[in-house]
This record gives sequence, C-alpha cells and structure tokens, in this order.
Amino acid sequence: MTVTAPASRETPPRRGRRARPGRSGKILSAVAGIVLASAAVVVQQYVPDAKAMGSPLTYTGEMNQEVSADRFSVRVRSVSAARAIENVILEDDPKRTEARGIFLIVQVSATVPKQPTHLVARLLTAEDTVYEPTDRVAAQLTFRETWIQPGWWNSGVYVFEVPPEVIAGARIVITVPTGALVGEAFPPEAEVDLGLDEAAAADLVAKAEPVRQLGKKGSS
Amino acid sequence: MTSPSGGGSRRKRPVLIPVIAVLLASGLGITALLGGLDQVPDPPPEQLGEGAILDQGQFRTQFVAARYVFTPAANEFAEDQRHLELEFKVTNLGDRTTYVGSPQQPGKETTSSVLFAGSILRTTPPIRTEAGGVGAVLTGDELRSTQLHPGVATPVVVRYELDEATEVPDRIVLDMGTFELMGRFPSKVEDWSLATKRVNGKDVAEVAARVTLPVQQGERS
Repeated sequence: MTVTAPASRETPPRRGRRARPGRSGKILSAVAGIVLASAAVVVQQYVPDAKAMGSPLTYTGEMNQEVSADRFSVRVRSVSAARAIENVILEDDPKRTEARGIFLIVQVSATVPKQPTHLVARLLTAEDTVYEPTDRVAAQLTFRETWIQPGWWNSGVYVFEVPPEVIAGARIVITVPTGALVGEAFPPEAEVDLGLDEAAAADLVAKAEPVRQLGKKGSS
Repeated sequence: MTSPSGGGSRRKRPVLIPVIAVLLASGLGITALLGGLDQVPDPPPEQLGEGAILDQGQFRTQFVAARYVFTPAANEFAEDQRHLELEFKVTNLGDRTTYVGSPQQPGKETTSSVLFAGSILRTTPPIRTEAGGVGAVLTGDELRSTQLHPGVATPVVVRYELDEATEVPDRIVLDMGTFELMGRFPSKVEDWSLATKRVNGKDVAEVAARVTLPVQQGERS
C-alpha cells in the first residue's frame, strides 16, 4: 500500500504530459501530418498505371545490328516489297495472293541465350499505327513458326500487308508470344527502325517484285 | 409550466408536416404525369440503303449489297448449297489491325463483341442457321483472310449458310451498332467496344442505323 500509493500519484502527471504536448508540439505534429499526407499524394502520382505495368521493356536498334532483348537477340537483315505472294506449301500447288496495298517482307535472324522460343512481330508506323503480320501468307512459311534455339542463328521472314504510304519511318517490333490469358509484366521486345525515309520507301515500292515465292526452300 | 409549451410545439408540427407531405406528393404526381425522370428518348436510328456509308467509330463501312447465292452440287454425292451473303467495304479507322469476326446470332445477342461483324446487331427477318453467319475478307483467291488493317478499304463478306427450309427474303434490314473508345475494367486501357445504352436496367447495344438492302439473286457454278 505505502509503496504503490506514491507510484500511482506519480504516473498520472506523466501520462498527462505525454497526452497533452505543448502548443509548439501540437503545431509540429500538425505540420508533420500535413507533410506526410501531401508526400503520400505526390508519391501516388508515380505509381505506374495498368498500361505502364503491362508495357514492355523495349531494346532499340538499327538494320543489320544485333539487338539483344534479354531473352533473345535479333538482327533485321533486309526489307523488300512485293505486289503478290505465292505460298508454296505443296511444291506443285502454289497459292497466289495479291496485296490490297503492298506486301512488305522483312528478313530477320535470331538466336536465344538459353530457352528456345517462338518470336512474333508487328509493324509500327511513324504514326504508331500497328500492323499485324498478314494472314494471307501461311504462318508456317514465316518466322512466326520457327523455333529459335540457343547456339545458332535461325532466319526467316515476316510479311506485312500495308498501304504504301505508311512504309516511310516504319519500325518492326519483335517480341516473345504472350499467354492468351495472363499478360506478362514488362515482356522484352526489340524495336528495329527499318531505316526507310520517304525516298527509300518510294524506291522500295517502285522496285516491288510482281510476285514473290515463299516456300520452305525459297523463303530467304 | 411544461404543459403549455408542449401544447404550443404540438400545434406547430401538424401544420408543417402535412404541408411538406402535400408539396412532395404533388411534386411526385406532376413528375409522374409528365413521364417520370426518364431521359428524353433517343433519336430514331438513321435509315440507310444500298451503297450508303456509315461511320461506326472504329470503322467506316459501306453497305455494298445483299445477295442470295445458289451453288448446285458439284457431283451426285455433294449437296446443293444456299447462301445469303452480305457484302461490305470496311475501312479500319483505328490504330491497329483487327479482325472481321461474326455477326450476332438471334437470341444470343451480346454487348461484349469487339470485332467488326459483331456490330451487325440483328437482321429483319432474322436468319436462323445452325452455325450463324461467318465473316471473312473477300480476297478473290483461295487464301482465307479475316484481317482488317488500318487505313485499307477491305471488301468483307458475311455469309449465312441456309438450310433447305429457310425462305429467302426479298429484302433484308440490318440493325447496325457503332463502336466507341472505352476504358477497360480494371486496367483502364482504352479500347473499342460496342456503344450501348441502358434499357430496363440492362445494357443493350445501341442501334445507330437501320440499313435496308434488296436481296439480289445469284447462281454460282
């Protein structure tokens, strides 16, 4: 009793001191609160949105330059144009298809450091319009269905059907196929400028082959 | 002391409450009489005909023709084929390649269609087939294509395989929807979706145009 009584007498003032800080302390904590809250608001602006989260890590390069995109390396070798394409799946039965604009044929080589993969491509115009490879050339005749293996370079073509006026300034973007349901965060992709200015694009269209054969032999 | 003041306040309340009640009731009544708080009805869909062009947001679409095509059997083991074909010229105004897709099937309408032919919301008379219509690009060769590349005016045909019992109408009316850019949930990424409106608490695709096409008769050997 005699021991506990002074202790209980001492504690209430301490508690009171802690709970009730002086006026300067109040102002300080209010300022600190406001600073912390506004800092939180500022930081919130830098949180990547869904689009940024799903956006790829892009490695850029030029024609005939090895572009290493982490999980694969590509080299874009040449660009040519054709008015029509003959799909040679069975040697005696070529299937011919005429372009509504023009066929742009991009010759690509690729290798991987470790994991074999397929590679998909799309064409990005100067205005960032996206052209998927044409479905009028059988996928099996293109690089889309080639397995890229570690240890050596494989070659093939991607074919795009485009209006001739979008060729100048176009880039090819090569990437790993994404899962149908689950999108990967930051998939690696290689973006290669095809190096075509207005004059080179016009020249390419002017010199377009009337018919290009694409087959297991003649794909190069 | 307490009873007069209580009585005074009691005398005030019965006045105020009935007045508010009457005002509310008459307000509601007048609103109800004027047709409720519903929005002004939408303007009726545009009436279009053969050769007309409709701006569908993502696409600029020309209605070329509707035709019935009879293909006689190639040999005694094959069967005659009857098709109803709808021909369009479609220009993709979006910023990426998209696909033709298939028209909406009667009784299975959906607002989640994101491909061109999904904007053919319904036909009058409805064409009932087993598999529904199938859309493709008219390539003029054996290679089947379904792509609509940006900026390319692409001939598109939507084809219904008719069974023997189906009668071929003299003319067909297409209810066409449009597409608008909308943020997807939950990613908020902008993409084209069918324009919708709420009818009786349900989202239905909005009819932007009714296109009447005479059905031409054709035969293919």
